[in-house]
Amino acid sequence: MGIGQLVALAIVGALLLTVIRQAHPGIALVVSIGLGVLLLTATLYQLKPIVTQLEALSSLGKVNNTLLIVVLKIIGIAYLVELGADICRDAGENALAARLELAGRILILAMGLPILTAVVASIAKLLQ
Amino acid sequence: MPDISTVFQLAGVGLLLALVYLVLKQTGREEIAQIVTLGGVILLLIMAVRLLTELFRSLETLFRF
Repeated sequence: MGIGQLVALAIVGALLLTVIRQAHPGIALVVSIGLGVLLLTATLYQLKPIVTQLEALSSLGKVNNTLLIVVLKIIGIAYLVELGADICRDAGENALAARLELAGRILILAMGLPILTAVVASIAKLLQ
Repeated sequence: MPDISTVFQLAGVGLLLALVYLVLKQTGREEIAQIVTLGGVILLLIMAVRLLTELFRSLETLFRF
């Protein structure tokens, strides 16, 4: 999908959702989840060439492949957590959204700490 | 690859359902309106979950889960 189609999708979805929400908020929530997921999926298809370029770049610089995979995983977690938290917030469950974001942060921290230790280890090796 | 017709499918079903709910409520058939709403929400949920699985699958392949 091009950017024009994405913008049109979002605007048409917003207009339809205002009408649906007045009649029945529950139906509007499900429709908004579907539209949001559709937008995100369309965005991911644009992201695919960027990731392959990033991999080519990292292999050019002889970066350890496992580190790149960890970074990609972190980006994926961020996408998913953002989606879930926004859906919760749309449904009016702000507390649930906050817990989900906390969980996402902790997961990202847990995945990122090995990278930090690798950086510190390489600095220590340089200093010796 | 998602296409634009999925949007109209999803939003159209939602719009139709909301209108049916309004009409049934106005004519005083509360119970039927509730049942129709329940069925419609389940239908929409199935469509949303199908989209969600597609999203998760592409996330898995893209970000190497």
